[in-house]
Amino acid sequence: MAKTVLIVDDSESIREVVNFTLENEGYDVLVGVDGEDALQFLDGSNIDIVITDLHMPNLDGLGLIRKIREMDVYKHIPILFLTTESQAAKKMEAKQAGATGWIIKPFVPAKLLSAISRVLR
Amino acid sequence: MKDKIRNIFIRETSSDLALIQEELKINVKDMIPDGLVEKIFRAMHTIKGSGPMFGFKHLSEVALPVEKVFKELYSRESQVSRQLIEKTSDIINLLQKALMECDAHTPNSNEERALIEYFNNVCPFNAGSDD
Repeated sequence: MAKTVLIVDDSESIREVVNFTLENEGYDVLVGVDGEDALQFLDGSNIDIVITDLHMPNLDGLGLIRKIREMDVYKHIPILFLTTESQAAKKMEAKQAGATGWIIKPFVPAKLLSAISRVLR
Repeated sequence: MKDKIRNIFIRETSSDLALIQEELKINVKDMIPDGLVEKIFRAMHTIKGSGPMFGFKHLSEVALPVEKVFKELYSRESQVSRQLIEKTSDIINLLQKALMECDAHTPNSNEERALIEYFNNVCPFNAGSDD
């Protein structure tokens, strides 16, 4: 059965690249345009992994992670940040909020796919 | 598909920059409102992070020092110099032009180098005066 990935990014071009890459590999993909928008998919449905940007309007990536970790059903779901932010302090903040991993933009599709397979193992 | 996504990047980035430029011209006198600082930061952050994936590695390097300045100003309704506002408008013009020209854009013009140098050296917190 195909794994379901929730992508959250305010950049349409990044959403398209990630969506295209994942669908080509057989993943089912859900797309949110920011943290607030992504919450509509987190209604108990079967989502296997969340990939989110950090800086977004309305609800940013850290806010989204904190909300997800408050939901019993998604308490242990893998969450990867896909961001240009590479500061150690920000990474620590993300880890404390409950992030599983961190992928730096710009990225190559192979790197994204390998990070996803690693956390879904 | 690659071209389609590249065109999406050009369209969305150009549109974001045009809106920022409009707001800079209409709303800004000697203060850049919080919301606009955030918009400029996010636009530069996107160009820096996503530009290289769509063939705009060079623009990523132009956006980097501007992103740093606006990251410092992020969430602060600070008074800034008229010069910082004008230079921001100038660099946005340059980015818009480069996106329109795509591969025909010539990097490292004198204007571009001067703007990058300005943003590399300006301290936003001392940018309240016009000296």
